[in-house]
Amino acid sequence: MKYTPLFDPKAHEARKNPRAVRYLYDHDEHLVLAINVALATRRPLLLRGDPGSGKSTVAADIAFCLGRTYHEQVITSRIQAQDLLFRFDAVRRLGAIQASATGKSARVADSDAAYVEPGVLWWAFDPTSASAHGRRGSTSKRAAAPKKRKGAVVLLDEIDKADPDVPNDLLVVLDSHWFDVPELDHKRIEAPKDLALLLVITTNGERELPAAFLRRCVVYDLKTPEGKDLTAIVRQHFPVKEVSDTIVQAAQAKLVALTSDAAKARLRVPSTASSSTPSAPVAT
Amino acid sequence: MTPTRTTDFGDLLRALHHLAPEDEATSAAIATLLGLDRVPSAPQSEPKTPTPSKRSPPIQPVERPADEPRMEESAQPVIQPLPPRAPDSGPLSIRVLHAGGALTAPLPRASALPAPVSSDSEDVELDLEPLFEPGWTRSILAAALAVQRPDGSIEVDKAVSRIARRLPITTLPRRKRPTLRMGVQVLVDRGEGMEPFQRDAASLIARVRAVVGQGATEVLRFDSDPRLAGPGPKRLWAPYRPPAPGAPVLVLSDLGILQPDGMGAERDEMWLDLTATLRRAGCPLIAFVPQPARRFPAVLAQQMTLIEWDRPTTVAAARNASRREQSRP
Repeated sequence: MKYTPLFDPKAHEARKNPRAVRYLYDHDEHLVLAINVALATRRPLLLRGDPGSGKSTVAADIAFCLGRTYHEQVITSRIQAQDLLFRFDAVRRLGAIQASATGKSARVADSDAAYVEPGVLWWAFDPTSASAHGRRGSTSKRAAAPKKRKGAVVLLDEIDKADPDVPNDLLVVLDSHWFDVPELDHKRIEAPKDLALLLVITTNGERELPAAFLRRCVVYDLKTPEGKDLTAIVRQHFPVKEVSDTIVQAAQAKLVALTSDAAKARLRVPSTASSSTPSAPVAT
Repeated sequence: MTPTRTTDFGDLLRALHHLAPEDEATSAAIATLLGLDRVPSAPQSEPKTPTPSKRSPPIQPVERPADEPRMEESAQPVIQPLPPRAPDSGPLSIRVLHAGGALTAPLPRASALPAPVSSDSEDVELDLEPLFEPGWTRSILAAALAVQRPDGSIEVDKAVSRIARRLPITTLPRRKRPTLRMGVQVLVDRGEGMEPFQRDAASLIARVRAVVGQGATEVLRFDSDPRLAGPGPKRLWAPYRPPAPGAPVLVLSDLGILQPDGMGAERDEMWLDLTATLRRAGCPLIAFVPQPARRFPAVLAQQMTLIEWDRPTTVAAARNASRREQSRP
């Protein structure tokens, strides 16, 4: 394929990102093209694939290579679309006012604004205003003053865990790049027109995603790593001086056999993540 | 390639402008990534009125010899062949019509049947016509299986009411909203009356898994009597146990409607027993029944939430049925 890439992983090989997923790019030029199409069109990039196929790691690596701010949100079954914009901490607000009434606390913020917690898309759209509302005393790095960056990459990890309405509820805000906050007198949070924003969304295929949502994404299916790709992942975590080639090859053969057996028995197949790292996933 | 929307075309222009592909293959790959090779899909929104049923095409009259016995409306399903097909008219289809009366057609003579498909033909696929309107199935399942949980915004009125009376707020009152996070237990009837619908059941279970989630869907099978059920072979079935409190139960069964007369009381007692068990466990019960609603036993229709597993069922009907079930005492 010949084109002028906006994102070229080969140009960033010298910058050694410890979480790089070079094996993906080296063997899948269509993935690199999908990333470039998402960047050019500003459409969300939806990555589908089995656990361990490298979906989540791609987002962090793009941010690293392009020098962009990176935000991530792991989706759970309880998350609503609005949680990605902001949360109003009503419990803390109530607790504060009750503590004040009983004299247990002298200092109470009298404005709802103090209890508004920016979500991941607010941080991506407008980090300056988000940092002004970050929780006081928060240890989150995001609550610190934003650095000058060339844009942002946002990862919404495992969106299939959310209720089916969540992807559809995000459509408007992802198209318009703005939303308002009722608790701040309907303050409008808007991304600058020239903001370079890439939204990467991953799914394990646990649930079917709405057709309207899929139509708005650049969709790419990642293959489960095997053979040389799998060896490359293993070597990234276990250098030759720690684990010999013989052991790696034997382990890979065992993984292939286990995967085959599990597929026949309709059981969960072992993922690359659980088989290549002793304590933490490589990439999910 | 057929552009699906003008925005797709605009995005294609943007991508071509920024990426400047130098060969046809790259341009084609970009267009594919933008969905410009996809056929436009059906609208996902819920239609206000049902479209004409695709299951009731005009039935061609079949010439019948005077001495041939007439096929009466019966309890057994009837396989109706489609009219002769054009060579390129897509996968071969078979429509199975249950004894709803209106859709029962006379059995055709052999000469009226389409030419048999040669056993060595390639790429012949038997296509299943879903019982629910295909474009609505996803929404019907989401509406029927969603349970109301206090996950929504805070009910300020209730909170203020307690605060004003200086009562402690032990649990923050929240508005209820429908969610599928509780998962679902599907009870599939493998009894005689459901034999014609086994493929429909398998197809619907796949849709349930896609909507509710693979890991959140438990499938148990039973043979006419749901009090003995299990996920595997019949010999391993055990007395039925409800799922975790709050998780809905979806029954795919004809409820024994087609059983001989005289079995009704025993059948009703069995289903009411299951209903009571699930109510005690706090699990909403929804049954998809592949029979016309007018055939539902009155006592079961009153005590259970039964949904007609057929084209007349709309998303709104499924949503209302689910709400009705969850508002039962």
